[in-house]
Amino acid sequence: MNIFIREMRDHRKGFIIWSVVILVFMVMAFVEFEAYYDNPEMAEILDNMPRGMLEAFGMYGANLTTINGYMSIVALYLYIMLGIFAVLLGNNIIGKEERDKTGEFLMSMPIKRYRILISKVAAAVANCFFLTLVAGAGIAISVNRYNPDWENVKYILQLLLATFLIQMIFLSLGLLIAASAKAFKKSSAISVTLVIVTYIISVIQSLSDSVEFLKYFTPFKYYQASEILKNDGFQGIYLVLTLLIVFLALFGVFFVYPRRDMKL
Amino acid sequence: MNIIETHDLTKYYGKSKGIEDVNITVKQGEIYGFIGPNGAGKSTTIRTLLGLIFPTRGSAKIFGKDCIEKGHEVRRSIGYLPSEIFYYDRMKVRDLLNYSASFFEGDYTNRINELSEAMELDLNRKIEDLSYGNKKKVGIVQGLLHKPKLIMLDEPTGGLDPLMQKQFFNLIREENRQGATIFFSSHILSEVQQLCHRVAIIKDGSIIQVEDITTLQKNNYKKIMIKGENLSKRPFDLKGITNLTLDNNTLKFFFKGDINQVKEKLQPYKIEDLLIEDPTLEEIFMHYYE
Repeated sequence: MNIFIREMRDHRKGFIIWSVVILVFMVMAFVEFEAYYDNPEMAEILDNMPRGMLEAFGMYGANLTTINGYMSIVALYLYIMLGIFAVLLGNNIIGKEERDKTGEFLMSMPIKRYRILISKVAAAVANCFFLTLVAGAGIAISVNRYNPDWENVKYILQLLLATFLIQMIFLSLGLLIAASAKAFKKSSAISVTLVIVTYIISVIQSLSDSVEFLKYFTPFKYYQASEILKNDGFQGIYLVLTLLIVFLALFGVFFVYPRRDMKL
Repeated sequence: MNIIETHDLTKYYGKSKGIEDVNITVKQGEIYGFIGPNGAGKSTTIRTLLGLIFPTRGSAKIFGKDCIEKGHEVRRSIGYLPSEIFYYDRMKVRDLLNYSASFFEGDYTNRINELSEAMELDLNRKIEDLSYGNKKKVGIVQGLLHKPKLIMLDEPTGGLDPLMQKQFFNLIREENRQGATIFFSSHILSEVQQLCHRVAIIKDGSIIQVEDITTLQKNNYKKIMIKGENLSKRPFDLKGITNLTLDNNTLKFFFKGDINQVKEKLQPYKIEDLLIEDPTLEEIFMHYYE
């Protein structure tokens, strides 16, 4: 418990900064929404834009003049931002002990490494969860004045759950990268690259039907907002994949890290 | 009872050797010196014993328990002071010490206050604002606060001024008197001689000698430098003098034996300068084991 509290405190500052960024983003996104809301002309302009461009920004086939349609686009940015937060957090919470050489202190305490890991993972999950809540709060404040109905609320909750699940994927991968990387600098670069590459894969996959299978390699496709809207929920296969990735990555972390030489 | 016992303890970092076949036994109540030049494998040995890194081969027992398998149990009774102190920068000293104490059963508030007072440590400052020496003091308090039965010190005196160093040695002697075993790594011979009962000498990752401190002192070479006019080598061709050189009116040699002999030989000369000092560790290695 002491390590958990320590980690929560240690990441408080970063968490607050991220919260502010996300809240500001939400407010700005919905200022923009004012121009689209109930405005058929805007929809027409968008319909005439090239498909490739719309796909890249996750806007293809979305009706931006409704709350749900607009949310389906905002969701992508939420996924990317909170995904980066999660992967960096996972990477940092493990890697910092060696980067700052504090591992010499922590690992010489009378505690097994896997218990240290449990506390760290718990603190990281809590941080992701609370950041999802912050994003939810930002959406709630912004959407409120457009009088959302139950369908809107339900969809937003689904997107928030999706955001959290995407965070879990990237968090566990960030943890795994840090636990197995030789040096912290490299591992944080690899972590961010991972988010960007998986995003690019998701764009490529949308643009070309010949690489259909790529959808399994990018979490952004697992919880594509337009699909969630269309299907009114998640697809089982992707939930299974999510669980599998998180489980395997954590298994790797708990296998590798307790056997790792501290590089101090 | 042996507090530390290693069997062919070996650590390779990839292909480069850290330590090889280290066999040492540290008995209860000892102050055991672990001496060797930088990069000889002192920190590697200590870190392996603490489970920070894992041996390539061989094993080690502390308090009779395997230091890897039962590492977390063993570390309950170990206090460790690393050669360089790194803590969470944004924490206050008091919070850091309380955090450290939270890993051990019991209440250590009084002990923290006592030790901090002895080391003149300000508990309300932030770690990042501390000087090197003050960080060292935090390390000392943190390493000793849970009354460890085994205290591992890795080059502990760096950054401490002579007064603090003395205070620290007193603290260590007091812990030892109360039953703690001390494992003291250093590259400074004089401080090991001052404190330790027994000494292991490590070089290039291998233990080359384990000696009682009295034996080491008996074989103590002095490094002597004499500067003056008309000096010549011949009168100094004594037993106990080695590596005699004369260069630029300066006579240099190592000497082991009764220093009065040298004094007599110096009588007829007018000396400008005279320096008698302890040889460096490297020099001891070169001459002590010829």
